[in-house]
Amino acid sequence: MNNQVEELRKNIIEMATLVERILQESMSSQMSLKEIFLIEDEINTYHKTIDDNVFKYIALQSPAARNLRNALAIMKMNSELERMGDQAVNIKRYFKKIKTSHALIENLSEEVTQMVKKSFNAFTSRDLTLAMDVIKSDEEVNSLHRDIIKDYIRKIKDEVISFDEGFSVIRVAKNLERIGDHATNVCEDIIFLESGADIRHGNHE
Amino acid sequence: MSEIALEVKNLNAYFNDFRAVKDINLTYYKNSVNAIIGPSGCGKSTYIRCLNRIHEEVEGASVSGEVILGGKNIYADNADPVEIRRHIGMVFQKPNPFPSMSIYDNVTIGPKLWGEKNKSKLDEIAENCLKKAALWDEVKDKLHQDGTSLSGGQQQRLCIARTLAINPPIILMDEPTSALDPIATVKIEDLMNEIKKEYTVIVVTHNMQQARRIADYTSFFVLGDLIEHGLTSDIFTNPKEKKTEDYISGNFG
Repeated sequence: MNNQVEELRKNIIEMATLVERILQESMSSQMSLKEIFLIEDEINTYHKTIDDNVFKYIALQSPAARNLRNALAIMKMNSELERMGDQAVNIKRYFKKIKTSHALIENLSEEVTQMVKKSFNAFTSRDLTLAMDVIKSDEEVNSLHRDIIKDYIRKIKDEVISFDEGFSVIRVAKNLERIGDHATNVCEDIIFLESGADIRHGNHE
Repeated sequence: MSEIALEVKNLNAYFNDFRAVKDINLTYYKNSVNAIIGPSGCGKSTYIRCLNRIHEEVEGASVSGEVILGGKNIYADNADPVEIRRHIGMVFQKPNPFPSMSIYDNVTIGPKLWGEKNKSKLDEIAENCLKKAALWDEVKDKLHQDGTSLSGGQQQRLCIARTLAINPPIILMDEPTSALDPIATVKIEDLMNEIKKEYTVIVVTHNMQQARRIADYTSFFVLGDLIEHGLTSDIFTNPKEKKTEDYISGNFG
């Protein structure tokens, strides 16, 4: 039974590696949107395979305790990772329309990339402290996101930048912020998996 | 918190010098189903047999400690084991209806022995208990056939009806479904869930899925020690003890 849990964990780690990659490529000019779609396809395949494997594992093995929490957490993480992939595609769509570099977006992107990396590391190393760090850093990401929205709405109004440029920056920021939320959810799932505690919706006891 | 049905204090069970059950302290609440799980030889059957003084019937067997029912220790010097078994009934692993005795007589023998002579009262007990044991519809037209003519699952429900007939507040069950097929098992499990409205059930089971399905509380025993006791929903989702975790995950025992 434990081998099957290890197999599920291995699958989700492979999927997470693809998510890290698509996120990185979504904000670089190296890859075309078409190539990004190919990575998303791979992520979607994992999404279906992992759900199916967890479903079969629960139906056939009736796991309990940690094994059961592993299965449930992996199923939930699976949805979070799939959404991250979708959001990376959205980022790519808008990022390629942006003409110049914007420091605020780069900061936000760096913060979110770190959150995602740390959340995956927390899963592989079963590190609850790291998972809590990620959850706490979401506040910083939300605040950066709010600053960007405010700043760029003003810039559009004042005609400091074009509407298209400003709107694209705002869309990229929104999708980055959502990815931060998903990384937070992943960390909440990890804490549930490792400790059995449900800390969602502000219950950090 | 619900009312206490049975309290076990510092209970030890011996076979001669061998201590098979070690210092158990447990509280059972009214209207609950309580499962006892653990690997073979962990003392769970010996333990449950201490709860209605059957253990001491084995040669060389003895018990120390207390089992409190209704404020009285069933091991007190003046306690009568036969009277105690009227209050703490038991259903065994293999269905054991009394041979060459009809279905009706199997159910009513207890009340008769305790002095009930009124025929219509006995009829009422038979019907009620067979209904509670979910057997009435299957046997109402053949109440005077031999109990042993029934299928295994029906025989076990007959034994449950027989136990219910003396109306004991506590019902012990020692692996009551291990000799039954899955359909008969589901019927007994549904029945446990039903009878807990009026009784307190303590059941030894080898089948952990069964404990998960039916029990409000689960106790885990290893080598005569109580390792962990708690709400079934806690034991099977987030046990406190590593041994429990290993056992319910199939890595131990």
